[in-house]
Amino acid sequence: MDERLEKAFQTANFMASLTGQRKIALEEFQQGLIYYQSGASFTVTKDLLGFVKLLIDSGYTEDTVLIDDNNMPVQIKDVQAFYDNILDQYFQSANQYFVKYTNLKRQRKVEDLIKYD
Amino acid sequence: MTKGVLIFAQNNSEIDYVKLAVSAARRVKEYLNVPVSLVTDSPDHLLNLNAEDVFDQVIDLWKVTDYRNSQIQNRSFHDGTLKKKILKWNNFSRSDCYGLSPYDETLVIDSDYIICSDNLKAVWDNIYDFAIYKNSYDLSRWRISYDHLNQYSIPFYWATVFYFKKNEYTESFFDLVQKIKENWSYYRLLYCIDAGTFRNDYAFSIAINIMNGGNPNGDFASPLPGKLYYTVDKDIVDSIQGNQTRVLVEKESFPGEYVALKTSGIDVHLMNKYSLSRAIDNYFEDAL
Repeated sequence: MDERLEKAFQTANFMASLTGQRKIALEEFQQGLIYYQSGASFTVTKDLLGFVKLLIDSGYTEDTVLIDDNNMPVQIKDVQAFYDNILDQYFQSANQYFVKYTNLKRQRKVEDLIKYD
Repeated sequence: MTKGVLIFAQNNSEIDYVKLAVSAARRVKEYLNVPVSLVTDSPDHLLNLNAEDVFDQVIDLWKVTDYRNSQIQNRSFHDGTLKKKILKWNNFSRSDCYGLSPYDETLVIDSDYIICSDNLKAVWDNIYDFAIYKNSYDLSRWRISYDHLNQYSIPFYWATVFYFKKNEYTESFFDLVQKIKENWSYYRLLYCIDAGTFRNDYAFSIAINIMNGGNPNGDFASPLPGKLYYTVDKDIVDSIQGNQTRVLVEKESFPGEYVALKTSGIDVHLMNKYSLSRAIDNYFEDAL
């Protein structure tokens, strides 16, 4: 096969893996954003973080009802602790996503994209 | 309330489901830290695998059910895009899990479901009676996803992983699955299912639809945490290491060509049993 054509195919393979790997990294990030408490699940979005901060700033710090991802009402006893936990979870997941994404950007070969950590 | 995981493993002439179940059970213990019981028609095979101590209980289908008269069907098992075989497929025992499970709260997983996170820990001690995956993500991203049984039909649920609490509601649900199984040719036509083979996914989806009174947004089945990530048997499992898996996913329109991908820290349903079995062998060889 023509050398330049072979290289083009190699690049195409690399791009397919890179695109798939970026999507998986995003899925892993989103999976990491799910926070569980008292049988309820909350996806830690910027909206949730902002709303919970608003509750705290408005003085709703105890026994406050939140609606989870499945529209289930849940009473949160300590809203500050809940906020600290979801904020921590958000940053942990975001940092992991950042590391994975930055690492993917640096790679130039399929083997490096799928190398075990 | 006792809690634990139940895994089904019914071997055929080529696929050692018991070996896959042993590997899955070790992962459950590592990531979820609950006891695991095995339902199998080949309990003696555990001795060959030196895995008698992996399971909390081993439930022998020959002893506890009318297994001799149970149905068996055939289906094709792929090992990548280019290789396939027609083999026996014993998947009719799943509806018996209510009676077979020794636990009050049970998480049932397929033997080819690779746990790589503690995500499913969230299922225990919640208010739900029954939880199952509806949302899924195919690592290929180009294949048509399983949202509904077909374009005119009801929502699709994955019987790969599900949780139930023993009570009268869930007992009724599994009775219903049993009836659907016994009258499969009728339900298959009623719900416009093309495939002739019985699939637990279909039977569960139909039973959930009935339990919901035909309302696709009914509340009988709660969602399990996150999504079900999967590859099909036309993809190839390259290897597994810790909480990471490496797979070759078939390319669209190029049979026999694959895209290499890696997952990290997410549970994955890897349907190619041949290559999964090889990957498990290599994993344990590397560990020794």
